[in-house]
Amino acid sequence: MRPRRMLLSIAALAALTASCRLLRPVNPNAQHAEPEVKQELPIDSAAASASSPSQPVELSPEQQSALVRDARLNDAKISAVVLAANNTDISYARLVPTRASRADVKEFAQRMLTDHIGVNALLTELLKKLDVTPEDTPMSLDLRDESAERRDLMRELTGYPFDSTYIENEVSYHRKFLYAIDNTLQPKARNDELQMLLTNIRPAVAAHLAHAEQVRANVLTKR
Amino acid sequence: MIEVTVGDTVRWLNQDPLRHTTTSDTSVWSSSELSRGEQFAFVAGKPGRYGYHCSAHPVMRGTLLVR
Repeated sequence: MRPRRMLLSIAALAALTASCRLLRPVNPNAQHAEPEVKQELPIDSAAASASSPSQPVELSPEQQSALVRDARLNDAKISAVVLAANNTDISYARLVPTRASRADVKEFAQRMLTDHIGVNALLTELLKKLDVTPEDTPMSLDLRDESAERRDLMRELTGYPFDSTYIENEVSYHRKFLYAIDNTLQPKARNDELQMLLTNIRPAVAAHLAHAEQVRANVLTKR
Repeated sequence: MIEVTVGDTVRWLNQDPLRHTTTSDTSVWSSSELSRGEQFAFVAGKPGRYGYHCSAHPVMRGTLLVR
């Protein structure tokens, strides 16, 4: 049998695990002879566990009102919120190396650093291209105030108290960020490229949430 | 699940803004962290069911079935 080639999209894999959409392996030779392969993939158990991040995140009415009250968000304000949200998680992760005791917590924090710094770099590059200057909004300022309070709290902790507080905070943070992306940021973005960026980062944020929930479960059960 | 035949080349293309890996759960293959636009190829040499994941985001998982 003639060997075939299949092209899988890692982005599609991310979307799959996060949202159980179709993954479409594309055969680069399809125009010659072979058909494109389309399959609907089952949900792997690990992906289906934890938070099922493809599903809309539910928040309390109080949390929702805080996140959607910026009804007049424009692209400059949305950008400020996304930058603030990423900087918030970066600031939490930077507390980890000298305070955490668990390897899985340290590895999770390192990934948060890499990904959130990466998203901010992409967004900064896009804003430069679009000639958009981020404008602070109550939402972005709230994020900064809240993160300062939480950092003050976590700075006082080490070992298990730090690990459990940090990872609980990560679950909460990513739930709120995901909710904001789905209900406020992505729907209100007007520029196509900004909207695409928000669409593209959603699976990773959802994966972060599911990962944080896994680590939290380990922290709570294997003290 | 992706189903291929022995001898097929499976190629993963990262179209995501963040870096990802494709890593076999049983160490049959493992890519480095792929940036956007980078690819990794694996020739399916033996029949079997292979689970794989992204080592950077362990909840991102898939299955490759080689017949």
